[in-house]
Amino acid sequence: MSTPLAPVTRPSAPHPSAPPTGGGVTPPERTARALTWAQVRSALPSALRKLDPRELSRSPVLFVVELGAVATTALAATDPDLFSVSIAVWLWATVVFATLAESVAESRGKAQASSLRASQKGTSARRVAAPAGTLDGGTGLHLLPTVEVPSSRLQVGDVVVVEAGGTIPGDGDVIEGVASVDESAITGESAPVIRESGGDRSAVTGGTTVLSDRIVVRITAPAGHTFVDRMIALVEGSERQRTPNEIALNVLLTSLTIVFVLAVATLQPFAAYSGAKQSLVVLVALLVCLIPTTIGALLSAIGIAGMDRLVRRNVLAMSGRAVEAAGDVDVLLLDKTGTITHGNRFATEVLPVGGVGALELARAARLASVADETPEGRSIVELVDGMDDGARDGREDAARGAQLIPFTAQTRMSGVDLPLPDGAVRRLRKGAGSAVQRWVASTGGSVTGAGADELAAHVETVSVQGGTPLVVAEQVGDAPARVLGVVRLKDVVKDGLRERFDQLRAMGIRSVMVTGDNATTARAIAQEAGVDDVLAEATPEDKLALIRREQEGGRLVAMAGDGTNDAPALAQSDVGVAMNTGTTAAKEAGNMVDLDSNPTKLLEIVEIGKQLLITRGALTTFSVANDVAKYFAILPAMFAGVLPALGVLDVMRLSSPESAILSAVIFNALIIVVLVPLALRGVRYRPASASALLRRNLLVYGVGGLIAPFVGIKLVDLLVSLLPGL
Amino acid sequence: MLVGTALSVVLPDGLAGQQEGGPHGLSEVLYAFASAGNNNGSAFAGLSVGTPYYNTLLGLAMLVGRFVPIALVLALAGRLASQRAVPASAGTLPTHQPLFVGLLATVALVVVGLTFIPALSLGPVVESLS
Repeated sequence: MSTPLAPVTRPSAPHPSAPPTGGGVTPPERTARALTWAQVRSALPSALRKLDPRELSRSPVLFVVELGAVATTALAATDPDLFSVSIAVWLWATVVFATLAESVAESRGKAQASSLRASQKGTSARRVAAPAGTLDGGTGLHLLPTVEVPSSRLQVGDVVVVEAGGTIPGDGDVIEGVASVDESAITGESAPVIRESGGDRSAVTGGTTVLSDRIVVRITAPAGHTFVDRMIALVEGSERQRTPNEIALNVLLTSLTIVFVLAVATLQPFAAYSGAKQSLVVLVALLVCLIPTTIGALLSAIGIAGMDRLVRRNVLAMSGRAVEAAGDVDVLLLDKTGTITHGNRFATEVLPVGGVGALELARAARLASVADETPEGRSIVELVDGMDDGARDGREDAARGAQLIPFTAQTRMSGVDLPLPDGAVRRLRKGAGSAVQRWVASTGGSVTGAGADELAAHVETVSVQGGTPLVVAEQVGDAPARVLGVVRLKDVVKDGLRERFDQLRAMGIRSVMVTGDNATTARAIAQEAGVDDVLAEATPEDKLALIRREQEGGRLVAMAGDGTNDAPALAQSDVGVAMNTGTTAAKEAGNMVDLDSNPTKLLEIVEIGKQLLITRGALTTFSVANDVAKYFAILPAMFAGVLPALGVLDVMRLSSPESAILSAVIFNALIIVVLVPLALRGVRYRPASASALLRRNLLVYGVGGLIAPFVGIKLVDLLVSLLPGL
Repeated sequence: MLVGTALSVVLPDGLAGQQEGGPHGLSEVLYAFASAGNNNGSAFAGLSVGTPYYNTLLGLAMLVGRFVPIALVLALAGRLASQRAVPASAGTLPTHQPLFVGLLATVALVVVGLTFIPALSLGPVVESLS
């Protein structure tokens, strides 16, 4: 494969059959699975297991509810009446609903984990029998004798052969061959991807299936520590630890619980004093209604669901902390190539110099590119075919004994040698300006006078406007070569990015484009894409320094990267998203891995992080605001009998004191169920400033949280009052 | 404050100090503890606080009501001071505008209200309604 210009450092052209990484900015979310009964049923056993007080004591709110449930059950058992039995039942329901929410959230991950596990079971590998150290790629390894070994016995460095229909036994690099691989077990993307030796697409993942051809893979991860193993552990939540943010919220909820326990405990003396001594059942009901059960129940479900949303977008977060950090990010570092622009450049214009006709230049450029399979080469052919019908004739020229001159890093040119009818050779070259001029000079030719000025001017203009100038030259026979002109290669900015960056700015997130290009080119592209800042001619050290500088200012930095030289920066950043095709070093250094290897996804990761934090805040607000209505239900019910004056507080006109208290408890339990889908899905999120978001969510969840229970409790009361005996 | 009041309405020593019974008695005790804990330590005339019982308990309320918040606020200040300043952007919440002030006030009102409404409703609220 030849490349006409300086080496492209990024995963290059999206292969026709590769997943739609480059093109779409927003890959469609995989079918959002609604909450189904089957899911709930399968989650029930683990929800019941979670009732174990030892496990539940991690969440003080739920622990208190469970204690209350135990107490009321005991009371109801010794002195059964409909009221206390119903309260006991509904308190247990509250606890079960809470654990169920967590189990359902986990079960979504479990379903994925079990399908992953299935892909691992019982694969066997054809290991090349020769000692691993002696094997090099590209030497016909698949011809060597192989032995059949179970994939669990593979060691790092082993070389295996995988043929069409076979399952790749472990993580590794392709060292020989090209194959289309079905990675849907990992990524869920049904379109097969190309994996080939060398370059950016050499990494294969264990558990994926080879669809065609044959590849030779060198294993890079020991059995049991492959990517799939880690992924299973992650999606199952077995490695889940509480994030700092969750711990802080838990402290808040705990202190609220303590305050309310005190408030309820001291209420009994007051009540006794006022001559309205309350039964323990009523007090427990009041307490359970007061403590923030809703958010306490949904807290871990929200966190798990956040991870799950990332997983469904094919991003694996190594810790919940990273997801939260993503929500607080202030600065995004985005690589230009592959993230902001398509990984390749397109020819958009030809600029002849020194009296050469545009058509002549175009035809020459086309000839030099006909056999060039790089995206840049193909784009030149397309461009010229579009502007000139006559150029098509060149195809036969190219076929007649033409000799291709591939791109090398030394010459930094590519081209073609065409035998002319008279026996002479016509040499066409295209490449970086300096390289082509050197070649022209070496043949005795020179670029002087007006032509030279014109050439320099074109090269300059193209660079300033963010393009890459490709100089085309021609030599006929042994005559000195001459420069024909310049082809403008343009970096094409991905669609919809400008809007995305505008949204980010509205959220207060600054985007910085990082590129190896020179400052003028970089700024031109930055302006087109709408990013805020540019780090041009960036070395890995520059990147690291920039991250450190931003962090010293107190900002959180997110970046995406794939190369080994990205690893330090990935490790330094607060949110480091490594590409799945990237090197192992990069994957180890980052705290997230994008299975689609689409760096633009960084934007979505930030949105998911924000959504997670907002969901948590919104449900906390809702939970606390709910209490007000419950007071209006329970307090009059408790005391109106003895102190009729308090009857005016009974704004809901509930049918009887017992039904009022029971309704409040039932509402308290049911609201958890109602909010589970919201917790799993996350609150609707639209990019806006923190103030605007807060105002809107306060309105919806704060004021809504005040009003909803009045309606809800009244409705439940209407139903409950139909029960005989209440 | 609630604990003190609660003790006072069940212990004979506390009950002995009250002039009136019923809701007003509760209001008297509640006010005495509220004032001792958070304000100037005044009490209704109907409540004779000059007893060793009330002096001790109100003194404790005064001590706790003052020093615990002081300690907590100092701890909060220390925590905030040790944190790095984050530069303001559209993503940060301006703390000097009605939105934040209103939010803070509402949160304080709701939480405090939830804590004290039961006690208040049995005392002063009943009194005023009846």
